[in-house]
Amino acid sequence: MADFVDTKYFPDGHAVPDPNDTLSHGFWEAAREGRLVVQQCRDCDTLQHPPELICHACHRFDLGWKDVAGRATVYSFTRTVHAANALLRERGPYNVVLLELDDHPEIRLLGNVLDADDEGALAIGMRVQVVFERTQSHSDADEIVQPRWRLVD
Amino acid sequence: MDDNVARSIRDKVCVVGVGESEYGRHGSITSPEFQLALEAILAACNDAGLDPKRLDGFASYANDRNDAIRTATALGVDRLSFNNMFWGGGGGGVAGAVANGAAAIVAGYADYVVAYRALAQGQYRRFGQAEITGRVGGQDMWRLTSGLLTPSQLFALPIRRYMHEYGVTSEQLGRIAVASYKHAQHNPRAVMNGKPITIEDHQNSRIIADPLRLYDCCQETDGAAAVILTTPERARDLQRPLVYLSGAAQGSGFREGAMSENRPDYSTAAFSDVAQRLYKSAGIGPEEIDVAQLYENFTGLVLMSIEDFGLAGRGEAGRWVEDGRIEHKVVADPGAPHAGELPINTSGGNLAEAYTHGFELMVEATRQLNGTATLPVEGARTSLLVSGPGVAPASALILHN
Repeated sequence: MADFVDTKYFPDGHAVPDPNDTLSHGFWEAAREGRLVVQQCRDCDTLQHPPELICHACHRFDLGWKDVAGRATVYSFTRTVHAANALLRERGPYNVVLLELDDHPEIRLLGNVLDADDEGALAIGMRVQVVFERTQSHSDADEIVQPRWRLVD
Repeated sequence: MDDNVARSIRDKVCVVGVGESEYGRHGSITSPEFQLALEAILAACNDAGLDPKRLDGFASYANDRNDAIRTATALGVDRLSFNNMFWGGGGGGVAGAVANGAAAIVAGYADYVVAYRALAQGQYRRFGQAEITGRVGGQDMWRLTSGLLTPSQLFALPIRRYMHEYGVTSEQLGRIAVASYKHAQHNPRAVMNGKPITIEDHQNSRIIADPLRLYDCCQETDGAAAVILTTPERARDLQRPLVYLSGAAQGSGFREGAMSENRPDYSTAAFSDVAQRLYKSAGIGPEEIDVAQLYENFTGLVLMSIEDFGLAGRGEAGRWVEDGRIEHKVVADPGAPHAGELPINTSGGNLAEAYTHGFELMVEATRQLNGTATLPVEGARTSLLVSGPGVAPASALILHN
């Protein structure tokens, strides 16, 4: 079962995905259902990220979404100390990870690991599992749910 | 059949003049950015001994705000017969803008092309700050929503991966910064002239986005720089010793533009394809480079560029930059075993001269070959310029005298 969390990694006001975005609305729709997906060509099965209007391999415009396992390995990461704006300065240092999906290592996702903001909390090769953060809750006009990640053994 | 070599631009175009505006820390220069662009262009014409009214081609990159038609009109040039913008952000277009201008000369579109870039971060947005709020879409959304808002945060990721794969240390990154700052102490134009740093200063500087420290990051400055190009025949009537374009290449390899950090060859500076085409175009190899200007958005990407361009083997740049190899022999530590073997960023570059989106590196690449460098590399015949590591599209060129 998908793991939903209500804690917010970034404060209100930080950039959030437009769930109706032309290219990625299927990704955010799946996230609301607790599923992690990657864009896949319905014709040649090629996966690509980020989503695009066309399959880069066969040039069909018929693209769908493939469910992926939601387990990944830290491929790289940063801990941002010098904030880009006042909102994030107030929040304090945060992490950004680049993840290699276990079942599709050719696809890398950007994300954030919960409870891992301290210096030394992250290392390349660490294993993570997806959770789904209700960034804007059910009561909002259109809900935004974003994948975040937790360290696992 | 491969006729790329037969069609090479080699020896068909000369760089005849270089110039820049005053450089200063962001917000320190009150002249409007467009005036800085004009000052740089006039300085370059003056350096060449060319009447600015004879400029007929204008080329830039990174969506420079000071567009060709405004510039040509303001200068009252006789005609504008070539205008060109190199697509792509970041500093990927320094060599690309010059190469586009050169191609226009060979094609007969223009006789005297100025390539230029003006960037006054104090008058517009500082690259190290970003107010991005609300809903975002498009291919940028993955980066922005995960909190990668500035170039330092974004490029921390490939640099970290590179350091992990090859055991490169923060101190080895620091060698790039120390060399640039040492060179800037001989350059009165440099913003960091009078402010030398040691490797200890680098190691003690604050973290911006781990693993990048303050001195790993390029400056945020105000300034503009320009170069003038023409045919070798016309160049002989001007005043500087001839500096020829040996070759140029731009672009990127397979899906190197994939956003959300999905480009292949992630622990490189994404130049493998450009580097191969550059050397083929110039008809020389890395062993023949005498001095190099390697775009420093961030120090780690300079190490990765050194490998992409074959100056050092894959994974070896961290050790290669030690022992004074990249420092001009005048500033290298006495007794450093490799002092001055291949000086890089000899004016101080983006880190310590000024951040004109890397165009000051093109100016310096030229000065090293026509006797006007502040820290000349003795006997230099070939000069490499690399622009936009980790960026797609990117570009590079080689000059010779």
